[in-house]
Amino acid sequence: MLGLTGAAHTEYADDSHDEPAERPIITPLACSLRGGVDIEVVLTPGTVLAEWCGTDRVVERATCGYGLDPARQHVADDGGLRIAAHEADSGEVRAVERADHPYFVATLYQPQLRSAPARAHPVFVGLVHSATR
Amino acid sequence: MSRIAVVMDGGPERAETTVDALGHAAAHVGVGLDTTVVATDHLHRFDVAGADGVVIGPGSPYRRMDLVLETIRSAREKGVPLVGT
Repeated sequence: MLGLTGAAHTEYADDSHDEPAERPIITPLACSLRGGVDIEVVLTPGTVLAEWCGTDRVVERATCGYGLDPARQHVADDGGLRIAAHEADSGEVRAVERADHPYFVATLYQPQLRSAPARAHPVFVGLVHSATR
Repeated sequence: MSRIAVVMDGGPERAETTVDALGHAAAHVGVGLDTTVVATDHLHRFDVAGADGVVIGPGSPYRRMDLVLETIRSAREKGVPLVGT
C-alpha cells in the first residue's frame, strides 16, 4: 500500500537471519506505555476521527509498547492513509485513517479503556454507526 | 443490528473491555449488537465480508500476525468498517 518493501515490526523480528532483510517500520516507543498512561492527543481537523470526537484535543489511555519509527512518521500520511491524531507532547503519530473508506480508523491508544455505559467512546460509536445496516 | 467481529487472542476474558465498549456504543446509537471474538489463528475461517464491522483488538504479539494483516487488507478492500486499537 505504501510501496515499502521489507517493512517489518521489531516485536516480530526474525533473528535467524545474518543479514537484516527487513527494515523495522514499527519500533519500540521512546516512552514505554506498557502498564498504561494517559496521553494528550491532538486530533487533525476535518478527519473522521475529529468529526466523531467533536473536539480537537482528547486525553486517551495508551498501553502500546510499539509505534511508528520516529524517523518515518511521514508514511502515516501517504498511500491513502492520513494522520488523524498525534501526541501533544512528542508530536508522534497516534492515529491514522483512510479517506477512501466508510470507516477505517487505527489508534495507538486504547479508546475502549475510556469507555463507560454513560460515556460511549466516539471511536466505537462511529464504528457501530457505520456498521449498522 | 450490527454484527461486529473482535479480532484478538486470549479468549473472551481478554476481549471483555473491547466488547463492553462496543456495547456502550451500540446503546448510544440505539442498535442491537452481535459481537464475536475471533482468535487470530482462527482467522482463516473468518469471512470479513460477513461482518458489518471489525475491531482489531490490542494484545500484540498476535499468534498469526499474517492473518491479522490479511483481515485488515480485506476490510480495506471490501469497505468493511474497521477500528484498530
